[in-house]
Amino acid sequence: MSIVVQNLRRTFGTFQALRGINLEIADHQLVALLGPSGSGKTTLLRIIGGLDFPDPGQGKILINGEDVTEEPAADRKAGFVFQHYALFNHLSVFDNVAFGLEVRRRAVRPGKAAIRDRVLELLRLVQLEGLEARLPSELSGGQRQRVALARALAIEPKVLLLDEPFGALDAKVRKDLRRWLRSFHREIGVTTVFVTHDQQEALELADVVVVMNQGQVEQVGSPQQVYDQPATPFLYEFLGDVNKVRKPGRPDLFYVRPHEIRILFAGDAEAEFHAKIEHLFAAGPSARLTLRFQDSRDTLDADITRLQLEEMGLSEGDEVGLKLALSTHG
Amino acid sequence: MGKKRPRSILPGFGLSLGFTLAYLGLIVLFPLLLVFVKASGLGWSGLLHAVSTPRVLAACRLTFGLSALACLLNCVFGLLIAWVLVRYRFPGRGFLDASVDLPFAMPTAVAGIALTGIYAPNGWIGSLLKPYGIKVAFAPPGILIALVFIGLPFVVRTLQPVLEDFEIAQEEAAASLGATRWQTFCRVVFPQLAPALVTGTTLAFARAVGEYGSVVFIAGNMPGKTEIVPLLIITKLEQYDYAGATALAALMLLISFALLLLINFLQRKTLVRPTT
Ligand SMILES: Nc1ncnc2c1ncn2[C@@H]1O[C@H](COP(=O)(O)OP(=O)(O)OP(=O)(O)O)[C@@H](O)[C@H]1O
Ligand SMILES: [Mg+2]
Repeated sequence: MSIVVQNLRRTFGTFQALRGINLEIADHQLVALLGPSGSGKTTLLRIIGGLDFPDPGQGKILINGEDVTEEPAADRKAGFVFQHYALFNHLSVFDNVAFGLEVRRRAVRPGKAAIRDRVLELLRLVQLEGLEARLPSELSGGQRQRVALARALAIEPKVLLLDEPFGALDAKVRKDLRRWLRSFHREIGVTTVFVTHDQQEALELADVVVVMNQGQVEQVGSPQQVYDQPATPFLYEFLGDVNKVRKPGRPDLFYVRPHEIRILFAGDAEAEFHAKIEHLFAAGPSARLTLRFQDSRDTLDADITRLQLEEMGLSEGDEVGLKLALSTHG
Repeated sequence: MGKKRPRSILPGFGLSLGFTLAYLGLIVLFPLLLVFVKASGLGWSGLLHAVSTPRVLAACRLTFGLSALACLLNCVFGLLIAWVLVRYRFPGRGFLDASVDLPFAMPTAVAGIALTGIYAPNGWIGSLLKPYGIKVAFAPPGILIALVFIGLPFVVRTLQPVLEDFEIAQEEAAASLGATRWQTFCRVVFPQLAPALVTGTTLAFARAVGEYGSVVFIAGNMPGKTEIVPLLIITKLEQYDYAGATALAALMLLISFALLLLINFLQRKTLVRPTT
C-alpha cells in the first residue's frame, strides 16, 4: 500500500530531528532511506510505524490514502523490524512469530491450527524450518533477523518497515540476506521501507532511494538517478567515491567520480589537463591512480581498467593527460 | 599425563571454587551444622517433643504465615514501586528512590519503635482505627506491617536493575504487532521480570522469617497469639532451655532451607536467557 508523508516535523526538546519531510511511496515499492548518522532516518521510520509521533499539528502520515497520523502503533498494522531485532527472549521462535496473531481480539483471532499453519508457512518463507522450538538466544544473528521479519509479516502488514536490517551482521551474511530480501520482496510485494547508511546496500537493493540529511530529504530517485545525477553537493560527496577538486588556476570546485576520468598520453590533443601519477595501486579488476595536477596541491583519484594500464605501460611518476566527464557544482 | 580435561576459558576455576566452598563452609554452613549436631543430642523423640508443643506450633504458624503474606504483598507493591521508579520521571523521584533503602539502613529496633508509635491505640493511625475496633499494634496486623516494611527493599532493589536493562524495543515490537498495553505487560514484560521477582520475594520472605528486632516491639508477644519463632527461641534461651531452643532452631533451619531450595527450583524454571 502507498505511504505519503506530508510536511512532517519532529522536535526533541529544541533539536529539530525532522524539518518538514515530504515523501510519496507507491504501492509495492522497495524503498531505501539513506543518510548519514543522525540525519533522522530512524525517527522518520518510527513515525511511519506509529512508534513515535510528529509535533502536534506538524505533518501527516497517509497509508493507502488514509490519514493514520493519530493512530497508535497497535492499530496501524505496520510490520516493524528493529535494528537489534527486539525478539521476545522468553518465547520460542514459534511463539515469537505467532505473537501478533495470538494477541488479536477473539473475534478476529485465527484458531490454534490456523495459527500453526501460518507460522510454519512463514518460517518456511524465511528459511527457518525446523527451528521453531529454539529460543532467540540459540540463534545466529542472521537467523534472528529472519525471525523478526517473519514475526512482522505474520500480521499481514500494510507496509513493512526495517531499521538497518543488516546493520549488525557480518559482510558475507549481509550480502546473502540482501539478495534474499530482494527476491523475497518480489515474491510478497508488500511496500517496504528500509533504513540503511550503507550506500552500496541502498543502491543495489532499492527501487527508490530517499537520501536524507539533517532532517530533510535531499533527493528521491532511482538508484541510477541518485548516483548519476546527484541533486546537491552533499549528495555528490555522500554517494560513491568522488573527487572534489579545484581546476588548476581557477577558484571553482568541481566533483568528478574516479571512473569518470579518462587517462590519455601526455601528448594527446584531447587532454584537458595534465597531471602526474603520484601513486598507482593495481589489485583486482581495475587500477587506481592517484594523480596530482601540475602547479597544484590538489590530488584526485582515477580508476582505469588493468588492460588500459598495461596497454599504456603507465607507472608511478609518469605524466598523463586527463579528460573529465564534468559535473560541476560551485 | 592422565585423562585430558576439557579446558575452561575461565582461569583459576579450581582455586576460586575451592575458596568459595571453604568460605561458605566456614561462614555459613559450619555454624548451622553445629545447630543440628547439638539438636541431634536430643534424639528424634526429644526433638519432636520439643517442637510439637502448642506454643511452638502457634509461633510457627504465625511466623511462616505472616512472612508469606508479607512477601506476597511486597511482591505486588515492590513491583509497582520499582516500575514507577524506573519508568517515570517526576519531582522527588530521587528522594523516593533513596528512601527505599531505609529499612536496610536503620537498626530494626528503630523501625519497630517507630511503627509501634504510629499504630499503637494512642498513636497517629492507631487512634484513627481504634473506634472501628481495628487493632494493629500488639496484634498480627502489626507484625505483618513490620514484616512488609523490612522486606520491601529486597523486592524493589532486585527488580530495578532488570527493569532498567529491559529493552524498550520489545515493548514497541509488541505494540506494532497489535498488542494492547496490558497484553504487552502480561506476555512480554512480566515473564522476563519473573525470575528477579521470585528472587526478590524469596529474599523478603527469608528476611521476614528471621526478623526479630522490629517485630518484638509491635507484636505484643503474647504466647500462642502474637509470639514469633525467633522470639520464642530467645525466650527459651533466657530460661536456660538450650535443648528446646536448639530444636526450634533446627526446625526453622530445615523449613527455611527447604523453601529456599523449592524457590530456587522455581526460579530456574522461569529463567530467561537474554540474547546478546
Ligand atoms: N528520543 C530522542 N530524544 C532526543 N533526541 C533524539 C531522540 N531520538 C533521536 N534524537 C535525535 O534526532 C536525530 C536523528 O536521530 P535518528 O535516530 O533518526 O538518526 P538516524 O538517521 O537513524 O541515525 P543512525 O544512522 O545513526 O541510526 C539525532 O540527532 C538524535 O540525536
Ligand atoms: Mg537509526
